[in-house]
Amino acid sequence: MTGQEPMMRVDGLEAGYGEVTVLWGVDMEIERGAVTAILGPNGAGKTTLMRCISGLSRPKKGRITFDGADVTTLSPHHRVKLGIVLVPEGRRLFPDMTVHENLLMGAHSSAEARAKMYENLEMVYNLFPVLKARRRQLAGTMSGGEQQMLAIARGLMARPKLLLLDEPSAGLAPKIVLQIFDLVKLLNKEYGITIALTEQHVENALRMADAAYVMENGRVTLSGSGKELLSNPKVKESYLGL
Amino acid sequence: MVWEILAQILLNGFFTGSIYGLMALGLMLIWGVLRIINIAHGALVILGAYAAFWLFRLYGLNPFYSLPLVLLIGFLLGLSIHYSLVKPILKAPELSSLLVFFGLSLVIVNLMLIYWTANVRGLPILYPSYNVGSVTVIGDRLLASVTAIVTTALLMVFLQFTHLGRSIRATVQDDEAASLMGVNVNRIYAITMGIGVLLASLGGALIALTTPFTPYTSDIYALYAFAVVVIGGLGNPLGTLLGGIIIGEAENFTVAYYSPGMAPAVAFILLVLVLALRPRGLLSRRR
Repeated sequence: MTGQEPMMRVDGLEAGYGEVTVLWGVDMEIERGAVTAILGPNGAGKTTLMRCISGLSRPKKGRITFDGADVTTLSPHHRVKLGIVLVPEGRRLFPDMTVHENLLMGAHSSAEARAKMYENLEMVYNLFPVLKARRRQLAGTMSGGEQQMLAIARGLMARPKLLLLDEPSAGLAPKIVLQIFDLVKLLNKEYGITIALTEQHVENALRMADAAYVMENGRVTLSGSGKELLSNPKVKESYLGL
Repeated sequence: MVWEILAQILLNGFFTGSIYGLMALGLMLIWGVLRIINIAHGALVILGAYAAFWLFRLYGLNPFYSLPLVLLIGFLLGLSIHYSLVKPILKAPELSSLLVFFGLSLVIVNLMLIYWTANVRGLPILYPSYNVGSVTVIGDRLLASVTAIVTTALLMVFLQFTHLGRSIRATVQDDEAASLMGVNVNRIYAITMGIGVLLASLGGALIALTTPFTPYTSDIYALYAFAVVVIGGLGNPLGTLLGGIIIGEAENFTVAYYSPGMAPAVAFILLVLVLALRPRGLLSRRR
């Protein structure tokens, strides 16, 4: 779109679990400074793609490059240092730690994140006053919406360049879902963080996204700008119920 | 008179129990972090006991002064066990780790038998005892018990308030999420093995100070440590200390009022009771 090199490029990615192949040659580009939405039904391979990008899963074939460097075989903890931060599906908080401790864990990633820990804590607590009020509460005892806020806040503590959100609105009340979308917009526009997210709320996601990919059965079947896909007849029929 | 005997038994039980708690801490830590039940824990404890014993016998080193050396040896031994035996089987089924550690236990115990014989060893009494009323406080046991409690407290502070400690707890709760926070999980596993064996050697040194031992005593300490960890639950050193004290008291009361031979049986009756009533341990949090 801008003509410059994308922040992340995924080439011919094949991945799966044991003998089962889930991704069959996925190509994708994540533009710097953009919000990229990855859409599709359950089982399309969205979470596997997120796991490969963050390093939790090793692809069988293909290449992942970030800022021009090949990161395909790097461990998750190395990718976090580069600024690739995943807020995983199901939030994956540390349930027996307090809100505050979960945030401190987020700052574990790099020397830079550790040096700016208190600055980031203040930023995050300003962004989420509810977390500040509950800083001594165990993460496992909070409501779903609060847990998702904490999961995102914990991701921000690592000072991400590319923030990956896997199903951030799953299982949340409609009002909270809207808050999460507003937050994503804010993080992108005000804080300049590049964001890629997977979503089931297709219409909301497409309205917000600069670019979008639709995945089915482990392949990318459609891609384009959010606006283009909103008016695409196939998307309308399959996902928007129009 | 009855009360004085009772007080004496309670005190003895507390002393032995706190040492049992410390001895089991390493087992608890490795179990919680790596999800491996280290059956060689008892052998490693006795190895620590021998280390303290030989340093005293050969060089005249007071076991409290030789502790730094014993701890260093324990830590390095833990690291080498990790890189040679544990790392290759981390992703293998659980049975593999049981077999590996069973083998390690056999090797350690038999090497000790070959080189150091099955003679009963122990350290002479080093510190004076004194009387409080009619209750006798044995100096060596008091010091060993204080060391055990201080170490447990230090471990809690380490896990609670340091960056490394927090990373260890995070790995216990969700290793994948920890790696997403930038934690090098393999490094955490190695350090945990190091600390686990270090704590086993410390437990052994304190046992050398308070109780006679042979290479064969490994088995009973492995079983006691297992019972203590199940009673205390995973993830909380305070629970392990409590578990140790419960086993120590049970042992001393059984010895005093029933028969010494029955003490291990009582430990296992307690184990079964806890498994039946609070399977995640006495101090476990509900999920």
